[in-house]
Amino acid sequence: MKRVTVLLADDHALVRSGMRALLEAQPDVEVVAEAGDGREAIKLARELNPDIAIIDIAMPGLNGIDTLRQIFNVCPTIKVLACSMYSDLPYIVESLRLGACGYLLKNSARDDLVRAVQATREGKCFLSLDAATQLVEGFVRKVEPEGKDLLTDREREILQLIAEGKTNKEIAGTLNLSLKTIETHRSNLMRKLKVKEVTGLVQYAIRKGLIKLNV
Amino acid sequence: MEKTNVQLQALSAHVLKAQEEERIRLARELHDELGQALTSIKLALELAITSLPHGDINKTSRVLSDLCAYVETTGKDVQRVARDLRPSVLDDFGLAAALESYSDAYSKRTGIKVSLSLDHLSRPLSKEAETVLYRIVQEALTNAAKHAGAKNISIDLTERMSDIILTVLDDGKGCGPELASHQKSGFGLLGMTERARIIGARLSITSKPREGFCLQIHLPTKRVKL
Repeated sequence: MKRVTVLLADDHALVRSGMRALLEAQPDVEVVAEAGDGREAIKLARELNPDIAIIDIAMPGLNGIDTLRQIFNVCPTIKVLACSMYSDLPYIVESLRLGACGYLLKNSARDDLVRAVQATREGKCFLSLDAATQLVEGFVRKVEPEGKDLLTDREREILQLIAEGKTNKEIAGTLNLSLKTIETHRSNLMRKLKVKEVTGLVQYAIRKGLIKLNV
Repeated sequence: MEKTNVQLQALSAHVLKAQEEERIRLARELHDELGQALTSIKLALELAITSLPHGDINKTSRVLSDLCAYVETTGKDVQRVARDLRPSVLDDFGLAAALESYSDAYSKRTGIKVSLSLDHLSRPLSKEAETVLYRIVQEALTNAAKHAGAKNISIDLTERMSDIILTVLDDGKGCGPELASHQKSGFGLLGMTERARIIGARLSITSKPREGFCLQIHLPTKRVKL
């Protein structure tokens, strides 16, 4: 079986040697180079054209994220595994968006590294379990932002007056509408905002900056 | 008298800035150096375990495994301390991403549900402003978990007529007006009020017993000194 060639980029020598040992125990994997920073990684990638690069996205100097961006310029067909201590969602998303085909958490490196390389050579995406969990939770959590489109302009106007303490009759007078219309709007507001009492409406108005807090 | 006041305010601004810079430095050292070192040690230990003779389930193997587990927990603690000091997400991705990360970890830790509604702002906030807003949310959420017995918290960031408004609302047991203004001048929030003032923002608090706690920051964006 053809050996897959790997470039390791991490500013911690101990991490690199640990990964090298794990990978070289595999008969079909060859670590062809190690880089201690982003610039060195780009240089070595250009010279040696490895199949896979494992890049720590938090390196100093040319940081990992920028290294990701640039490495595809010098090696268009290279496959990149992002590697990191960070399990925060923005790092995972950004790495994948920039073209990484996997995200490896250093904490589970021993279990994941070999499988990650095998998955990558098969053209699959590999995510450390915690990274996958973060992605899934982030995806599920993505609620529709309470858009400014949730309420109509008129509804927002009426909400503000309600939150200011005006009665339905006063609001009808101010806006030159019938009392019935105001009552309908009020119940629409409660329904749209999923509240049962005026306090709920007032809270929403405060949160959206429609009325100011007094203290 | 006026001059002393001005000097005092300049001093407090300086102190707060220095404090924040130190936090950045400490967090970076904790995370980059200590945290990475622990991860490296763990990896080396794991390798040492695999290089023991196969089937040799002996005391050494057990001791090394225990060490591994201990290093992992220590590493996580270091990461947590570093993150509380200064989250890298705030510096690398901005306020909204940092608030999402923070509230997610907070919910998992406390069981309190946090809902976020963060509008896209027409102009980006300065790093200083983002830091202040982040710290205030941190303080408010810490208080909610410690004192309020809240079950739900909402965090809203919105823009209204050239003002940026951040609102933190909890459904906890609240407090009376005297306590609310005491809170405002109590140590935690005194720092926050001061920080807000430095970036030209205003901090308001309202709370009634059994009616939760609401904190709002108004940041006018027309100020040149941002």
